[in-house]
Amino acid sequence: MQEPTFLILTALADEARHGYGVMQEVAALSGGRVTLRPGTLYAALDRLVSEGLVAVEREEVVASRLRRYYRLTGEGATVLAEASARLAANAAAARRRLRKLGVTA
Amino acid sequence: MTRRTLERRCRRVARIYPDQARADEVFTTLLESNAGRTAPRPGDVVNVLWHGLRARFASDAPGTSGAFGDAVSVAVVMLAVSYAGLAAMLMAMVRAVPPDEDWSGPTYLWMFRTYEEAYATVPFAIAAVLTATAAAYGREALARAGAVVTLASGALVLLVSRLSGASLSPVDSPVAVCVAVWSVVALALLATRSVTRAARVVPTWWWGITAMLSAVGSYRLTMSSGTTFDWESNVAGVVVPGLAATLFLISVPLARSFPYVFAGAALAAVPAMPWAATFADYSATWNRTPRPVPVALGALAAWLVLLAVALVALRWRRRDAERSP
Repeated sequence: MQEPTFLILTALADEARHGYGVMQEVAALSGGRVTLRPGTLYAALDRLVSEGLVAVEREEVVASRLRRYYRLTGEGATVLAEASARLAANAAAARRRLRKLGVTA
Repeated sequence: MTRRTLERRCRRVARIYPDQARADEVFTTLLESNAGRTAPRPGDVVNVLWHGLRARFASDAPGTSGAFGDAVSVAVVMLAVSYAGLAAMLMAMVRAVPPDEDWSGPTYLWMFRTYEEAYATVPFAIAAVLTATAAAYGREALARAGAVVTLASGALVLLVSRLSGASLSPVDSPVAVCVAVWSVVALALLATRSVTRAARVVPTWWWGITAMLSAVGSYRLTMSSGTTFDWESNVAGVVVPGLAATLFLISVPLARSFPYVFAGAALAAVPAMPWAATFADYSATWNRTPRPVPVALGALAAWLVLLAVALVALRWRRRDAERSP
């Protein structure tokens, strides 16, 4: 799973968000490292919706502008948990080896 | 004022998406992420246009009618691919034609000389390919309009050729006469349908083929103005443009199925179009080829091979689409 996809799923894990909300949350989670542009974001969301990991929760029209709110599905939460465990295991292995070198991460 | 300007510009960019709801969504996000600016960031604009184009190309199932922008894009791709393919095949089949004695430049530059007659065929080919594209996309009215334009162009060329004293004897140009008759019949049928407001009897693809044949006939007519030629040149002169017409028809489904490949080919091939038209005219009708009939047969064989390749490629594409979850 690529980092932007992981961050999008993480951003949706605690509450449903609209497109700009996801962009802001991803930037905050990554400390500004990952910046999603609108086209990339919606292409990723479409793919995640087609894979069943994300679903549209509701639509709102605010000041004549359409906002769709996306939420994480049960399957999406499972996939995110597995990816998170994989990353944690890899990170733990890297930290152990770095400690042997005398480098703290 | 700033906000209204930003809104207008974001709305314009977001319109690239074919789905209106998605366009509205992208507009909202683009607006919010560029708050305080008078225009969206260039990187955001490029990003939205890129993904919007991908959404456009992916939005239609093969064989269904699509947005007009898709049809225009496919038509341009088809034209460039067809001419470039035709030029490449002619180069492969015809031996190097020696230049005139008074030509002092390199041999390969001989083919870049311009002939007015060569360019006369380009508008007809453009009209024909747009008509065929519209027909392939189910745009009945547009296909009919394009067919009328192409047929009228063919009739005009016929008239000009006649007035200029060109030979239109059935022995010298049987194909040209046959196509001229077909054009008259097609125009009469079109006029009848318009007058009687009959129900749809003639399928849209017929208009596309009619336009193609008119382009072929117009090509032959322009080439025959004042030029002496024999039946071998007639055969070559019909088969070679017919090959171009088939390439046009093949390119429609392929361009829709592999849009990025064909868009790239169009960008590379567009500059070659005028040269290809010149080369096609020169080698097929000026009887400078060593053996016109083998050239024509070779073109026919290439025609059939391309058709088979296109059908196989489409079959694979459909099979992959059925297998994917």
